[in-house]
Amino acid sequence: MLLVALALGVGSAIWVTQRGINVSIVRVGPWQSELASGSEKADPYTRAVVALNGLFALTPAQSLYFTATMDSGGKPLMVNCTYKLTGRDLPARWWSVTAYGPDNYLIPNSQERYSVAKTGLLREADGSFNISVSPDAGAGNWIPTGMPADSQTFILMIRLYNPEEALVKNPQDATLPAITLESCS
Amino acid sequence: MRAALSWIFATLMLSVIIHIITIHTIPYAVMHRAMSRMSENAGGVNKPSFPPAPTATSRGVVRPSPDLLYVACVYDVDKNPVRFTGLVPDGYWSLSFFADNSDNFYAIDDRKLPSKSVDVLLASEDQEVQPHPGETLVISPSDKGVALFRFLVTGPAAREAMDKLRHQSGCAPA
Repeated sequence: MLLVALALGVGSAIWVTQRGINVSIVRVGPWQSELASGSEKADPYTRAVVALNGLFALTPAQSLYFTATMDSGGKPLMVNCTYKLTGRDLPARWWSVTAYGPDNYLIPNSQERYSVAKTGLLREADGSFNISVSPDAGAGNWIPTGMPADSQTFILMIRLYNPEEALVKNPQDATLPAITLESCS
Repeated sequence: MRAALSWIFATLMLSVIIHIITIHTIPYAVMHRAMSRMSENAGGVNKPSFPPAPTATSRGVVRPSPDLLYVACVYDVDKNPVRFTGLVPDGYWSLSFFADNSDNFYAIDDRKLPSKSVDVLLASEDQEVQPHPGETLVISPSDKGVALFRFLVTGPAAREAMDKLRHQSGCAPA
């Protein structure tokens, strides 16, 4: 009995944490945020999920995190595909977009380039930006996703440091970049 | 039949209890592993470590920020309070504290500091301590935990200067 209960109890706990099921998620298009990240008020499930996927996350007043595992069309983000992120400056003192592998670590690439940030971002004349996320070097803003041969999924994460107060209060109203699938090899 | 139903019911009840214990244990286990690795890198607790800038080979913590340089300190306030000091750059900087269950119970950033330096005294709930003038007293909900200094690097040109500045940060028993 103990062995069966152990398998069920531990297995269901791992399943729940890997699925990221909890009650404090806010979704904005393909992006989602664990609002209780780092908080002493976090429920046990959020605390477990954050410990496994974002240890040392700061509270939303200090930093907001949005992650995406799907594009705006609802398909999983794949390293052998090219995506275009389009948007406008985000309401924070500083922000960045970073790509991670499914193991939650930075993706190896020959240029050791892992993110695009508010500083250094190339903008269009109207202030908007386009960021290419692909295995192939793109002109302008580009985040590499590794080698196409890997053919695996990846994660995008937006960090917003010192987010504006209105965003902290109503993160569900954030205007975040669209993730458009352009092509796959 | 009745015996079989009783067995199923008891097994399900036991699995629910194990599930709840597992969920509550995960943050402590993850923190324990991280603190062991970080204190080993620093040569002990209450000592700072200066990890290299995150790359694709970094395995210290999940989802590291490639745009930050860190100073990490595993603290233990069981016997003595611990003092955290450092110089603060222009641009985003923060000092944050995480209890042994991973909760971020205190954080301060450069905008909240009156000067370009930081001086925080961390103590346990049962210690009676008198902070220095200008020093911020913070009470840790657990004896052990992690403090992280975060330094934003806005580009390759800023990395060397920020690396020098972060080495002015530290932690030590008070």
